[in-house]
Amino acid sequence: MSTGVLASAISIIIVCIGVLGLILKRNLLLKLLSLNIVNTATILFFVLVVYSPGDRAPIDPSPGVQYADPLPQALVLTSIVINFGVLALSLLFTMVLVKRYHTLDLIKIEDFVRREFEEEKS
Amino acid sequence: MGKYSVSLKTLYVIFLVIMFGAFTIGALLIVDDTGVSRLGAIYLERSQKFPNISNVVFGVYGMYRFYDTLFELLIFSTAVLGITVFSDLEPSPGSASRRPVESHVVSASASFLYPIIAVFGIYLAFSAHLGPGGGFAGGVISGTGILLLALAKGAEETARNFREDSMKQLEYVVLFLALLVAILGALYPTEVYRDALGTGVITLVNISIAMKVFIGTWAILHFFVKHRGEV
Repeated sequence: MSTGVLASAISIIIVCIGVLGLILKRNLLLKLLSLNIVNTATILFFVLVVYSPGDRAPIDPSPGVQYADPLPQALVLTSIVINFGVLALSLLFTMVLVKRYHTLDLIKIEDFVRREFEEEKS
Repeated sequence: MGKYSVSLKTLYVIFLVIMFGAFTIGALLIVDDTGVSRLGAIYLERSQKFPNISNVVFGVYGMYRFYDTLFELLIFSTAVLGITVFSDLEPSPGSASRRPVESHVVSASASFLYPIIAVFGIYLAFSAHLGPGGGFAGGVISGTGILLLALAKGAEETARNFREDSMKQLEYVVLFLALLVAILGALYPTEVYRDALGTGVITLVNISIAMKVFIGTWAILHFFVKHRGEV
């Protein structure tokens, strides 16, 4: 069993914590925070699952030397920027919801929306 | 309403998530296959044919999988577009009356640190094909450097100094530039990425990514600075 596998087990535990927060929390901001935790733990997983001691950075490769895998690093770069964009956009939507309903509680917001919908129908 | 009671549903969710974690860790222990993946080995081997791209990670996201990067830029500019549209629709709550932070430490250190941060970001963007760095890192570093400037000198003045409106139009030009390089690279890979033109085009890719991320980061940060509450 290598160090990378043990360390990436920790990142899976962090993903579980984030998913629990995503499902169980009612506060919208805490939900977004949990989403961010899941994303960061995924990045950690990608970095750690290919880690093995003694690898060199994949810069100027020559045959016969052991290099770290360049593929997950490039994927992680993509993931970080998309995480940033998605977080910013969802914070904006949270801002719109708070301006309209003056609460962050998701169940209260659902109640408000349902009431508005029924008023519109009648 | 404030505290939730532990219901059967909650316990069920906790149980399911714990089972998911246990199964994934178990699968990881069974497989236990670290080292370079097949695709990664192919990239490492193929990059020896391109001597002016010594950073293989840049080779992956700037050459072999450039479409990933292109669509990522598209997603990022969609997010920035959403924020820009909302920022135009919704006037900021009394930002004109708000003064910048009156701290001599912040303003002095910002005027000292900002040139260093900007040069470092540009350096990372220019040298991404040679060593650690890249367009994303360079763009984010420059964008957050401007945030430091905004904290010291006020957001509105900084936005005026950087001509934010024309910057936002430049963002889409940069996107089309990246698209052009992607199409050219798909049609003539060796000419674009290896021959005499090579390094110029590679640097162009990195600069366009850095510009894109820099403008987007600054637009997002400026929006949140403008619409902040009682801070």
